[in-house]
Amino acid sequence: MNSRNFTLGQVTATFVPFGLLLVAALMAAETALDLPFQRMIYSIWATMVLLIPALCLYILPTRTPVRTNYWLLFWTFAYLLYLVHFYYAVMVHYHASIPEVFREQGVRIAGSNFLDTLWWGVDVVLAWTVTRDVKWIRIERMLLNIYLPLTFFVASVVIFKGFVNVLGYAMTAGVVLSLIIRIRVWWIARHAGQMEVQHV
Amino acid sequence: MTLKQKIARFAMIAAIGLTAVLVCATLGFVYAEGTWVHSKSMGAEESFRYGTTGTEIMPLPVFQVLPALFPDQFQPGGPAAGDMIEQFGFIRGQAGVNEGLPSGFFISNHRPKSGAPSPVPFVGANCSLCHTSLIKRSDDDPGVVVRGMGSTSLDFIAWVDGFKTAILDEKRMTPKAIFDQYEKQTGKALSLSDKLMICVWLMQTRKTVQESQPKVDNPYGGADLRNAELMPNGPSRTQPFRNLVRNVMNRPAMLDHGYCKLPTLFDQQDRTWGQFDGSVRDRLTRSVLAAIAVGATMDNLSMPEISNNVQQSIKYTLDLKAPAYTAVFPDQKLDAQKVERGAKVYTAYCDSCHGHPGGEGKWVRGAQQDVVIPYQKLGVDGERVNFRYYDTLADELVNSFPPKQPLRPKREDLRPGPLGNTHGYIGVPIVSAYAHAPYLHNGSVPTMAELINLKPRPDVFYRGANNYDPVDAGLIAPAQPDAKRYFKFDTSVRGNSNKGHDYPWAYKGAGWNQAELEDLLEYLKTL
Repeated sequence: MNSRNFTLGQVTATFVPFGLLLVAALMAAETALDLPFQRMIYSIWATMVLLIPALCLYILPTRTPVRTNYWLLFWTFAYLLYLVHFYYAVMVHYHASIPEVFREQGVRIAGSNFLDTLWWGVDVVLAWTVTRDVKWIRIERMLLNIYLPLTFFVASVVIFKGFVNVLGYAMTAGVVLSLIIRIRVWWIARHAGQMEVQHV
Repeated sequence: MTLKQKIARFAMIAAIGLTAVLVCATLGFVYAEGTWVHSKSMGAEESFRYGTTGTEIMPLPVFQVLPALFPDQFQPGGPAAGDMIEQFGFIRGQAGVNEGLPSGFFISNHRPKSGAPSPVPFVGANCSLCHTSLIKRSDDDPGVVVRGMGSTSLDFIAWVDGFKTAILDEKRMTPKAIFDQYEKQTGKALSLSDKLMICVWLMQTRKTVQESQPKVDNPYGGADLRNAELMPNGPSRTQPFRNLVRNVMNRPAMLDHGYCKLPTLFDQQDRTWGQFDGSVRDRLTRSVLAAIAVGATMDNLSMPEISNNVQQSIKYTLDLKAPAYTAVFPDQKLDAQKVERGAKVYTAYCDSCHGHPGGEGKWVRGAQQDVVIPYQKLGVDGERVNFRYYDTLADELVNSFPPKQPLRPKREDLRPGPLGNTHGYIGVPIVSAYAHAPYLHNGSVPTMAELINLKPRPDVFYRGANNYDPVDAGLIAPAQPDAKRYFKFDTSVRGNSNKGHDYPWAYKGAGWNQAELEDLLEYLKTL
């Protein structure tokens, strides 16, 4: 998944939602007395809105250069929104204290969140810098695309309640649907291949 | 490229450009809002008087218009009983200083609880609200402000109930009503950001009060605010554990009768244990718990500006003393011979628990000072040290702070705990003794003459803006109410007992000696 040469349409379709979501996340919180906390919440909602198409585009079969470009842009912009969330969570809500994060969230959740942040960041850098098709990156990305939705599922569906559940279920539905489509396409292709062999 | 393609291209470039501008403007705004908070490095007295302690209550424009919008809540005694400041016992501020707010109210650009920056100044209550008093000898006397003395007139719990009642009034307490009243009062219109913040504040504060109703019931309002049966706390007193139980343990605390007077904060360097029962040791913990009871949070108390103000306020009280008795009452000449004789009585009967002044302003500790004396032995009211959750509150308090949180109290600094129980009261230094009125922990004895049983203690009297009687060294407490003394203090009510502490002797009991008590009173005025 290493296409480049973005079209104006691709950039518009990804940057504009990113920008508007970022603005909404930061400014909507102005309507709360607990401003930093709401920014932390709204920014993770915004992250999920862009993460859903990124995950679906990664999972869906038949990768074209166009789809690859959209994936890369959504993947990157979602990560930038996630960094905003990370800033308000760690630097503001937890007073820039990593020990406090672990104390408040517990080792399992805090560790998973830090791993998400680091791993996703490394993958975004790899996605922009390595244009060749490298096997270990393929494996790394596949593992990340299993791990990341799982952690988001736990947070947005299992742990927290409220509007985030809507996003959590939407993300889950998107991922599952994309997987079904991919498996179905793979199944049809495999079946068609067998028929061809039998015919020969 | 076709025209349609050109238009599409232009539209996309425009969308990207506009979005980029919007993002940049938003980031600029986020950066700029950091400048809304005008952090000032204040000295000790300035922090005590004007510094934020993380206890912001409402936007300044709302504070300014509330009394006019709700005279029924903020003038519950009717217009003839005075304005809000007089009716709730605040101390009037000076025009042009601190926006003319009453003493003890500060202005900051922090939002309540989170401490986030606000474009609109907020008003809050700090230490000096409760711990500053106005000594007046008559209703016309402008009086002397004594910092560090527990307010003898402030009826803050009633004011808070009136405020909550106003907040819950969805018909009258509307953004439009606030904006219109502000414009009417000041001739100025509020800015868009002011209006937005007021709307946000009103919506969220109303929601908070509404959510608390099932737990703590509806607030009282109107004339009920002066009804001692409904609002048994009354002026110059607090219920120190009611809000802590509510905020920390999420319990109603409706049966709390642990009333106590707003304490003096003189010479805190000589106080090993704080509170009347000696239940809190560390000074910072005392201040943090007091601030949390009034609405501060761990988040805003950790902010440098607020943290500094709390520390500076503590510093201010370390060697704080009231002006000398003769400086406040220059017409009262003390009889040197009586003082000398009174010192001997004091040494014989009081020194053990309270200590005495030594040289260079130092206080010489008494042998029993800081020792918790069981309330049964003292014979005084025990509600303050027997409230429900007495045994569990300290643990809950400590556990409500995250481990290693800098403000988390050390368990050994709270009692009951590793250092014992406090089902009693501690003897404390009586620096500036005349400024401790009313007396006993629950303020049930108006004057020092009555405290030492030179005169009989009244069973029922009326409290409010009581004037000061320098002869008996205490509050003039009438037996009948009037517009300014409205709260019926009935000492037969649970938590209000004026019995006990019969030192040197019970009134006209064995050993009672009027002349020696008069000497003692004269000496006490010199402390």
